[in-house]
Amino acid sequence: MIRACARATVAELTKLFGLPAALAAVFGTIGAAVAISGALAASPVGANEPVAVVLQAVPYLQAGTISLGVLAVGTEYADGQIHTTLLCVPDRLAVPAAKTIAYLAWAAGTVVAALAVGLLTARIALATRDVPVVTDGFPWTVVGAAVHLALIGLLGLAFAALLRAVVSALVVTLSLVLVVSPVLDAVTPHARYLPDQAGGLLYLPDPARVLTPATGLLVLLGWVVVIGSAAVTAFRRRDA
Amino acid sequence: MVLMLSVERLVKRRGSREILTDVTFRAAPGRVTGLLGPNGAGKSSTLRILLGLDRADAGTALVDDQPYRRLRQPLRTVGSMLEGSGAHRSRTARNHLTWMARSNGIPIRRVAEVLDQVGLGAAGGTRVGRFSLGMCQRLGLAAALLGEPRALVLDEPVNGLDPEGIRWIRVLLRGHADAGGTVLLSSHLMREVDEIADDLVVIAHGRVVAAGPIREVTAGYPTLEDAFFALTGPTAGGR
Repeated sequence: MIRACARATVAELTKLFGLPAALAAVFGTIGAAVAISGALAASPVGANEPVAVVLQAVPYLQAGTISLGVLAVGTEYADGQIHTTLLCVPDRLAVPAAKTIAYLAWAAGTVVAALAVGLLTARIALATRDVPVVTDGFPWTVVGAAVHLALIGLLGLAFAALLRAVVSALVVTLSLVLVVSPVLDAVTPHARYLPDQAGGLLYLPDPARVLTPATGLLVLLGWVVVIGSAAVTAFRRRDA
Repeated sequence: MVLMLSVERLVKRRGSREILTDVTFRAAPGRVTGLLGPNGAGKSSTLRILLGLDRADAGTALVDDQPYRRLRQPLRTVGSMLEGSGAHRSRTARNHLTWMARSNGIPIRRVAEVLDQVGLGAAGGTRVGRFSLGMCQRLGLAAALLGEPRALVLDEPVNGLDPEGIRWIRVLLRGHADAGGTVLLSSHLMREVDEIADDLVVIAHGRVVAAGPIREVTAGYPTLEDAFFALTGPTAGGR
């Protein structure tokens, strides 16, 4: 069982590598981190500290990991590839497990690279403006941002598994994060339980102090688990 | 080493409609078994259940003595091909076969071997979206052959192939059966099945209307075509 899962995971990693759109999502995320951090750091009214600059870019980078998560599963449902996948790995639990692990590996690499080059860009841009760079200890908020980005993409993966299509999963996940969340935020304080806002507490402080970074992480994980379980249940019951 | 594919009293419903009714047959090693029937007769549905993609409402479909879903490294036991390439159009043929090989612990050298075998040796780096129908069909066959399986299950394998391709697949499948392998293929093309199959399972309206060695099934009819229409026509067969 463990060997079969390991093989399935290696296959999923290979699959992502062979998908041009997945590579575009990876390099697009890293490129966006450079562009946004550079622009924010170069602006005289922006933050004056590399970590703060990069954290301002994080909400935009969500689109990158969400795309990666959606593509990892959604592309299965084009051209009958899901049939090939299930013919290779008939176990209906091994497939989602392998996909999740492969996505997390790719997302971790992408997010670490994006945040690292984002910090570097911000540092260089601030240096050209002769802003003194203050570093105070290890930037744990950047680690929190990385975890948030990987998990919000995992939510995209879960939606893609439930909806079995790239486009509808992208529309649902991106509009939840980029449209519904800001709109509801202006209307009700309960918007803090939306996945992006709860996960956002991993790198941004909550002025209302209702949720802590730990409980925010739990809320985001709760979203992933609920949507993911629904997707796995449907996957096991439905005909391919 | 023998490998029997057996389908026993299979029932499948879609909504309130019964699309398979008590479908029973076997595909024996050393023989090419043709699943013949008009479009919509239930050929693909039967194969999809046999391959563990769809669930039957009743009955069993077994590879030797276990369901496909229970096989470990299934590609090494049963090679299969369904309609279409089964590969996302933006991948290269080589990437598609490579991930398949990795999922079943098949040596990666097999990828180049099967690409050469099906005549796609020069197209390994081409994206599947740029393939013609015939090339997609050849890629599907390459995928079926990847794990050097004892059984081949092929849904409409000659669709989209040119006459040379049809001749090539006929030789390939004959060779596989002669070497002791099991071949089960579906088709709505009588002439192709007539030339390739040893055993015939004729299916119409979700029921098996005739099964056995091809000479027995067609006995009493001038040609397979006459037998086919007599067995599957509106006045005969399915009810």
